[in-house]
Amino acid sequence: MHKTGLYYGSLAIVLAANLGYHLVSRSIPVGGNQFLGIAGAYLLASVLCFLAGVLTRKGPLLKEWKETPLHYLLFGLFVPGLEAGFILMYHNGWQVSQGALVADILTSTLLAVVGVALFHDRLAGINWVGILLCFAGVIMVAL
Amino acid sequence: MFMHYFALALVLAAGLGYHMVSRGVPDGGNRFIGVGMAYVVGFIICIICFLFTKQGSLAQEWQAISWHYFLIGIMVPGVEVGFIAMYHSGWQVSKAALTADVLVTSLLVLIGMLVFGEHLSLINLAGVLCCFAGVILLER
Repeated sequence: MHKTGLYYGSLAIVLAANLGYHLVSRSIPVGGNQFLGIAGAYLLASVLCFLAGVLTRKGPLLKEWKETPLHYLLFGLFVPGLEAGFILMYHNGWQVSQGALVADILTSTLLAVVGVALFHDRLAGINWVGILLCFAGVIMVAL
Repeated sequence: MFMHYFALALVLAAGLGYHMVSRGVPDGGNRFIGVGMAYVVGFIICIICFLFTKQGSLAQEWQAISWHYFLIGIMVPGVEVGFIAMYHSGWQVSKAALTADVLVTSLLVLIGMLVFGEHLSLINLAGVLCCFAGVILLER
């Protein structure tokens, strides 16, 4: 597949937002109800997304709304676990330099296996060596 | 110590489900409206969890909430929309998350040491380099 500007542009968006996300998560004080805090974050995030949706729409809003796949609703089931989990990690002794690396590399290496098994992604031998190196690296980081 | 690893397990389980759903989202409709809908569901789930874990009135608990959470509300749409755009622009599920995450966490290692004064041993730093090398091989 031809790698367009969006191919790397989308990676840059994830990098910038993810970096900010972990730095803020690491700085959250222990006090207060974590679920209420995350609920407030999601309320703000949903308002921002709906505003962006209005600004980027290509047709009538109702039509775009109906065309948007319901798969997105499934996201809502998983994202609170991610947010609550990372904040809990940082509140329970994980350093920002280790917590994100261990969690993300473990998730990603498991995903690589899932991608091959369920989504028929193709990985070459050298890609598998890369996955093993990542796995070894995580163990060394967590030591 | 239990919470130390329970928190990691929670992130792993949610992360796996999250990326599998991301990969399966059809490329139609408005991405922002879709992610906005997801956050409404996430908001409802968090409010339900809050009702089970609250120790005071809503007003008291609200006042105790750090403003940092609202910064997270600004960051998370970028992560979600970015990952979905990655999958729609040709990234494979086996490579996208690993590439993005290793790049982010490598930068976090540097920031953790420089800004938060965190200490990493030589073997930890060797592990970071090992992860970096792994991502390069994965992208070949």
